[in-house]
Formats: sequence, structure tokens, C-alpha cells
Amino acid sequence: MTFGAWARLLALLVLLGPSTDGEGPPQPPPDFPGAPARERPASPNLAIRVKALRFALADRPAEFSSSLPLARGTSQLGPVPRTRLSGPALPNDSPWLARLSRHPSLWEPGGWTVVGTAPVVASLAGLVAIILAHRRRTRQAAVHGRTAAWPTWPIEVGRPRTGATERNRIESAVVLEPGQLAHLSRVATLGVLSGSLAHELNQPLSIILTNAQAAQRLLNRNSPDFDGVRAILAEIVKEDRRANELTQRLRALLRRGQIQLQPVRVLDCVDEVLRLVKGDLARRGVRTHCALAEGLPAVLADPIQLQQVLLNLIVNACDAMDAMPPGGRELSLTACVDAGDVRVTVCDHGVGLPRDREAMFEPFHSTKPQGLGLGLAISRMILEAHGGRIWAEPNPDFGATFHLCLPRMEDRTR
Amino acid sequence: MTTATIGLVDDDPGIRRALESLLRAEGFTVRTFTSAEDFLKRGADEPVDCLVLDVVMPRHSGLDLQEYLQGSRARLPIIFLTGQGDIPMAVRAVKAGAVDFLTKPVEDAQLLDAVRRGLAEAERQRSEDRTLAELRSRLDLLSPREREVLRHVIAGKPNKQIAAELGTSEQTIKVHRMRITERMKMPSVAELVRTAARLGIEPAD
Repeated sequence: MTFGAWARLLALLVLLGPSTDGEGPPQPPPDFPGAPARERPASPNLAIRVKALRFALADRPAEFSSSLPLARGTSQLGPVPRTRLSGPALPNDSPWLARLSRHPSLWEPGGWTVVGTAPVVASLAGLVAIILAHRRRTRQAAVHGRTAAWPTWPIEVGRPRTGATERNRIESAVVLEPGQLAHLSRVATLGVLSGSLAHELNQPLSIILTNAQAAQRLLNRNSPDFDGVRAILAEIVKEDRRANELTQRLRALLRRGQIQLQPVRVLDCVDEVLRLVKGDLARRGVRTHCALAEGLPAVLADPIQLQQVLLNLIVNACDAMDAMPPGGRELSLTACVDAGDVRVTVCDHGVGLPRDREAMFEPFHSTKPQGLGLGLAISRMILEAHGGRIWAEPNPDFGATFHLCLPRMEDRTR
Repeated sequence: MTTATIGLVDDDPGIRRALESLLRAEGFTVRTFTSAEDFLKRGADEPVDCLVLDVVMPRHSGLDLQEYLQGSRARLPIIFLTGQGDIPMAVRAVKAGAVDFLTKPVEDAQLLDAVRRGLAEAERQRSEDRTLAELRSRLDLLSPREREVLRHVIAGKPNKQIAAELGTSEQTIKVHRMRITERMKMPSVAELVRTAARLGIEPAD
């Protein structure tokens, strides 16, 4: 076929394509003289069709070519199928018109094109699917390689998660567990102490520096003093251990670990906490008195949580005494056996208790401007989880005393 | 050769031992005290030339001790050494006459420099004190009349005018002047004027 023939076929295809203006009222064609002067057709589609029709009919029999200025001879052309081309009348029995006047089937507009391109599209789709599948397999293998060593990893790799389980997972992450709350509160308390803790850590570092520089001076002498240097090195080792102990202590408190009940000596707990807050107490001018009975029975507790409660009570006591004159800031800690329980009291000479003593133990109840209001609530939660109690009493003179009672270990195990 | 004695007041035994090692390595004699109270208790028996003082200590702070010492032993140079100092503390300490206000960890050179400056300043003060004491003892040798003449002399008046104002003869004034320069061991009027100023003697009107 020649190029012209191909072009005509294409024009016909355009002409037979789905119409968008078929349902509209009959419009006079645009360029026909004699037709009432109207604006240009609303649809460019129609104009294209008309042009295509003209082109397709260009070398048709004479009746068509002569009647191309169609509007001129409407009388001889009879009724006009007005659904597609209004105005000009075309012969009724023309096979072209028959094709023009009906809707094309779904198959017709690009049937051969579809037949031709379908295998190509199918093979491309197959290729893309293969590539995607390969990518997914590689990624899963990589994740599995990283996580295979974690036997308790909670998410099963490769198992598709539905929307519902995903939502459950997020919800359970948002709702804090008691253990997480206790940890957050512990971190907040240590944050309050951070200045003093930095000082506590700075102290051994400063001692190490001075000692090392003293040793350098001893060695640079004309007659080096090796005995002096030996003594200094021993000091350096000692101070390094002291710094290490502090970081260990902090790490234990900052760690979010499982609660581990174990036999705990209350005196050790008090001692650990006092070591942590020593600097803070000195800075605030608080004098501490300890009356800790010897030979107290052990309690079954999580040592970190017990320390947390004591730390919280001591920091509270110091806060309560900030408003007091420096001479009167006294903190007393006692530990004794009381009716079979181990009882620890933290007594301050501060501003005293609010009227509603129980409300203090409610969450988000705080009298401090920057307080979270969680300390006492969490302390009570911890004590109750240990089978113990915590309560507060005002002192006869001024200030308050907080009491902790923990069952001795024999009672718990029996 | 006598070495300067440095007093260390710090509640942390580690700090005391470290600073003691450093200062001993530099040839100083060191006395350590565990608190402000300890220093006040033993300080009189074990005198020190310079004090290295911690600020934050249980009970009384280093600043309290400085305030207390200002009355009794104002000449004792004090160097503050603190791990948790702030600007108000430093201002208070330096205003009250501290040689320096250092923070831990301290560089050895910085601390030793402060100690030496403190000692030098104390030495200068001591020699000044000695000179003043000597001058005062000389002034005490003058009779009341001679002291009166001295006040007129340092006002720059000629003998004739002094004699007229004190109602005596010019010759008597000349004798008084001679005595004054002899006893004060000051041949020139200029030196006499300067010494009188140091001793706080007001010239006569």
C-alpha cells in the first residue's frame, strides 16, 4: 500500500473513533456556505472528523466528489443521518456512511494494534514482576542475615503484617508500661541531679590531673623521686576506680532493665544513694544524719527500684528544705525493724506536707514548679509491687517524715 | 632556706593528697585541713603563709572562712579552688581580697602561679607592715609639742609663721625641727611629708 492509502486508513480510524458529541443537538457544520452563520463547533473533535471525512472521500466516486460542497445539493441527497454529521446530506446506501452512522465496537478502534502490542506488554510486565520479586528476596535475605542472631526479636521477618496487628503494635508502644514509667521517672530524677553528678565525676578527674602533673614534676627533678611517683600512681588508680564506680552506679540507674527481685540489704541501698547525692547535699547545705540499725534482715526487692524510691524521697526532702535558712537544713535517715517489717524513714526539716496527704501520691500531683508529679506516685507503685507500703507524716515541730515498709525476706518466701 | 607553708582546706581527701603532692614537688611545706572548723581549731598552732581553699564544703563554706579570717588575719593570701563555682561566688571571693578563684580540674602551672603571686603579695605586705611599724615607733619618740610642730612643718610653713602661730620664738621652732629630723631619721622635709602621709598625720591648717 502506498503512503496515501495508509494515511487514509488512519484518517478513517480517527473518524470511527468514539464520539463525544454524538448526543448533542444537531449543529451545522462549520465551513458550509448557506448554513446559518453559527459559531465554530463546540467540539474540536467534530472538526477533525469532518476534515477526516473529506480526506477519506477525496478519491471516491464522482457523486461524492461532486457533492463535496455538500450543502449545495441537499434536495438530491435525501434524508441525512444527522446523528454524526449534521447539515450535509449523504447517500443513504453508501457503505461508508453505514460505517459512519453506527457506534464502533470496542474491538474496532485499535484491534490490530492491541493484537500486536499485547505480547510486548505482557513480556514487559513479566520482566518487571521478576525484577521486583528478586529485589524483595534480596532484601529479606539481608534483614534475616542481620536479625538471625536475635532469637527473641519480636517481629517475625517476612511475615506480612495486616493493618490491624500494626495498629495494635503502635498502641502497645504508646501506652507505657509501669516499668517504663518507673524508668522515665528515674531518668528525670537523675536529670535534676545532673549538676551535682557532673561535679562528682569531675572530682576524681581533677585529682587524677593534679596527681599526674605532680608526678611529672617529681620525675623532672635532678634527682627523680620514684617513691613519690609510686604513691601518686596508686592515688591515680584509686581515683580512676572511684570515677568508674560512679559511672557504673549511674548506668545501673539509667538502664531500662527487667525487674530483678533479689535479697537486698537496705543499708547498702541507702549507702549507694547517699554516695550519689553527697555532692548535691553539700551544695545545698544539707546536713545528713543516719541512724541505720546494724544487722537488719534482708528484703526481697529490685535494688535499682528501691534506690529510686530513696533517691526520690531524698531529693524531695532537699527541695522542701531549700526555703529554710541554711543552718536548719537537716535530713535524717533511719532504718530499723518494725513489727517484722524493715522500715526506712526519711525525715526533713522543710516546708511540711500539703493538707491532702493522699493526693501527693496521685500521678501528676506536684507542688514544685518544674515537677512532673510522678515521683511519689511511682514510689508507691514500686512499694506496692514489692508488697510494702509508703506513707507520709508531718513532724511534731516542722517538716515531714516519709516511711517505707518492706516485708523482710523470710516472710515473703514463706 | 625556709620554705613557705601552704595550708590546704578541702573535704575531699583525694584532692588534699593530690594538691599536697603537687605543692611538695615544688618544694613547699604543706599543712592539710579537712574543713573550715578544722583550720580554725589547728590553724593558730600551725601557721601558714598561704591558703588554698575549697568553696563548697559541708557546714561552713570557704567563703565563710574567708569572711571570718578578714577580721583576724587579713594578710593571709587565699586562693579559692572549686569544682562547682559560679560568677557570684567568684565576685564575692575576689572582692573580699582573694588572690585568685580557680576551678577544678586546675592546671598545675595556674595553681602554682597563683600560690607564688599570693606569697609575693603577702611578703610585700609584710615588709610594708614592718616599715610602717618602724616609722610609728619613731613617731612615738616625739614629744607632743614636737608632733604639733611636725604638723605645721609638713603643711609647708616657714619657721617664722609656725613660731607666730604657736606663740613662741623662731629659735625654739628651729630646735624642735632639728629634734624631729633626728628622731624620725629624715633629713629632708620632702621625706618627712611622705612619711607623715603614710602614717596618716594630717598637716596643720
